[in-house]
Amino acid sequence: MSVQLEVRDGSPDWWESPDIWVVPGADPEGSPGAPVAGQPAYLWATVANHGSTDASQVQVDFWVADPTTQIRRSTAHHIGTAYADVPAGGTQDVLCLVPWDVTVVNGGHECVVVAAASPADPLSPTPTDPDLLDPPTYRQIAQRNLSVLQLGSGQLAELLLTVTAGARAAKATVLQVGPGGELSREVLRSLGLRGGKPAPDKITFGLSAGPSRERERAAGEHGDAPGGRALHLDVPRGAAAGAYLGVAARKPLDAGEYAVVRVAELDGDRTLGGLSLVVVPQAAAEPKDRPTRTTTSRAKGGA
Amino acid sequence: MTATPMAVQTRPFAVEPVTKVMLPDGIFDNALYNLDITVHYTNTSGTDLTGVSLYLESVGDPGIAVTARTFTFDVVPAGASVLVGWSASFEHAAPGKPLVSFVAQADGLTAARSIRQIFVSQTRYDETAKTWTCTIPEGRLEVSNITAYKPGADWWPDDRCGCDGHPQRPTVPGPEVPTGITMAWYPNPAYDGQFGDLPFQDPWWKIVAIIVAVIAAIVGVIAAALGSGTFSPGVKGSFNDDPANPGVSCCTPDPGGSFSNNATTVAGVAGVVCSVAIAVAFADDADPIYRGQQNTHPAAGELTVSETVVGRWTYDQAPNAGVPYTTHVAWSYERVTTGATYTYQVEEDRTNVHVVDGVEVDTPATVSQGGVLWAEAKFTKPGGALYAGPDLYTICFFKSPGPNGLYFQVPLVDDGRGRDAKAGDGVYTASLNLEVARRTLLKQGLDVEGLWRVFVYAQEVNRTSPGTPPLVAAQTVGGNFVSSAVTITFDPTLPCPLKSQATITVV
Repeated sequence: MSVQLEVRDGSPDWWESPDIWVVPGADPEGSPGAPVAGQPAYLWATVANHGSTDASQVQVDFWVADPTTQIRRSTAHHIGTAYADVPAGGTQDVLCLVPWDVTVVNGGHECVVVAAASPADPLSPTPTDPDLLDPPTYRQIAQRNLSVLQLGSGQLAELLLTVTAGARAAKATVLQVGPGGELSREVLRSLGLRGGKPAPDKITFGLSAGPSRERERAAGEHGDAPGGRALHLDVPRGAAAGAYLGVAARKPLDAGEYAVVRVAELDGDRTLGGLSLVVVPQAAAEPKDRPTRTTTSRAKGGA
Repeated sequence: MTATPMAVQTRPFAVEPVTKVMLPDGIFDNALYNLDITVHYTNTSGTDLTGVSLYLESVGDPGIAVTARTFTFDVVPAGASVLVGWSASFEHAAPGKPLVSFVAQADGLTAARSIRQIFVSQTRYDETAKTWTCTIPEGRLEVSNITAYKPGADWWPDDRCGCDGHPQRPTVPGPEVPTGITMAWYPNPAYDGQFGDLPFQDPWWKIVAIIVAVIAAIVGVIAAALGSGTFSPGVKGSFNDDPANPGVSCCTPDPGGSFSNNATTVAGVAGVVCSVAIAVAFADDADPIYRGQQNTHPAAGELTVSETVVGRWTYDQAPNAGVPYTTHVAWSYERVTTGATYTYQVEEDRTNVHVVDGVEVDTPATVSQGGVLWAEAKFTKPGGALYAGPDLYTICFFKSPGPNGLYFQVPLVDDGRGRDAKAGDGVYTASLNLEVARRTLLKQGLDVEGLWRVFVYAQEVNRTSPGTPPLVAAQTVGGNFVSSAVTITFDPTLPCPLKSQATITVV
């Protein structure tokens, strides 16, 4: 007799959870897609129960945060709470009906975190830092730090990333940026993308401690993003530090092409968190048909 | 696999948990901190469903805190509607129309979700201005100078003494029968043209006024029963004596029992029954603000900034639930625009249209001590058709023998479950296992044997389908009582009669 809840992590990087998605617009049962700044959006998650006992009234909390690496409850924005009954061996889609008012900060590129909680399945081991939302350690918590960036030819996009230290400890950390590979069809559809072909060589990217200067912006417009592949940051306790991710198109992305940029926060060999951007040509990220994932509950009883 | 064919087909409605009454038109108000989000959940298929679980998934306003709960049913018959409600705190709710989602799952089927809107208002009282303000998304309604026939005395069913170390509890106000009201509507924003938005794009403005009157009527009941922490202290106001009829007073309820065992319902019902008389005076087919808009024509370019209705009325008889009593009403409408003031007056008779041809309650004449009390109620509409299933929100009380007998609240349902023979046939059934009741009575030193009384209450549910055009939706008003055991009279020397609809002798 047990309850074992899970909101799946992404693969290869946990922050690309396939179990979290966004529905932009006023209809919470509309098509998944990328959030649009200035418009409401609804958050969804799929919760699985791998245990042998039905889980009743599982509390599912939803947060959004600035594009950052490690997510803390104290700095993330709690959107709302939903409840779900998850049958043993089954899954249940969960809708948070509190609308997320997507802000214009970073053009709506924000991170979503979901945590499923039940007294029958407490977090184990007990968190040493309860403020930290820690997806890789706990199967009940997952993160979707995966968003779409539309990039036109000759454009340089800059995203402000935030690295936050805990209230009681300073943080010395390294941000590292690199190319990502092919995304699953499931993940692409959850972003409102209808398949596609990876074209990693058509973009460049880099990390900087400050915003780009005029000469760097001019270079970016020719396809050379400013900054390096790694950036060291020292963050005093209780404070936050910013970093700038620049992305530029070396060659124009064709329709149906995409490129993935992955940023990881490292502490030595340990990955603390990360985010991914799916770079697409402009106007490619229109909501498409809804994926067939909305009735994933396994039947109770005789099924 | 197929999705579970269960759905919430109409707007969820607010039930106040102390008095058990549905608020007018089912609208939630954050002046009452604790309210039940109540729905009829319907099996929309032609087959019985087994192993059904129902839960509330999410609410679109983070200020509404719901107590998580899953309801389970062994069987929900084909076409049946089961009544379920979730406790929620509305203390921090914002006025608006948040969405609420519900999930149903039956054996062998996948989960199905229903998403519906609820209406939330915010009522406050300004002690200095003697004005209630009810805020909703489309504007605010300021209500003042509610005149009323007051009861001969405030009341408290028992332990009013404050002796033996027990604190003196407040007496219970009401019921008060309204005879006049001033309501001023301030649209947000001021609008151009002849017509403004309806409240919540659905009910008439008068419904907002009735919310205010009902809240004013029942906060005293709740406070007396539970203390003042259960509602906003900012809503305590009082009605004025009717200056035109200073000699007229209302009866005072005398339910017996105590507030700890559901006599509060008597007070709540009496308050609501009286307050909805405002709806009768102001008519269901078109309320005074709408009729004022129809009959005043702002000049081009003017914006309407406020609309005020002052109404006074008299009754041909006491305003009782389900009875076609008539009000003689005179009201004036004033539209203030950015350029001029326009007025319109009406004097007319208006009759209660929320009537029943009859309420029939069948019970067994006698039941043995170890048996089951049951009652079957039928509510007949004018014309002979029966109310059925989700048409009504119904509750039933069995009152044990003796002047201090306990009230046992039991579901009164037409869902084809338990003792109810068939779903949706218009026969609502309630039952009480005397073995269970006996234990409770023995603790109080009370008898099982003797004459039990049966009390039945029923309120109409607004079954307007989502998406109905506002002007059509507005003409359907929910929350009116079509059956009440409490009778209102204008004789202050006698208690308001509490008439049981049936009796059962337990031997």
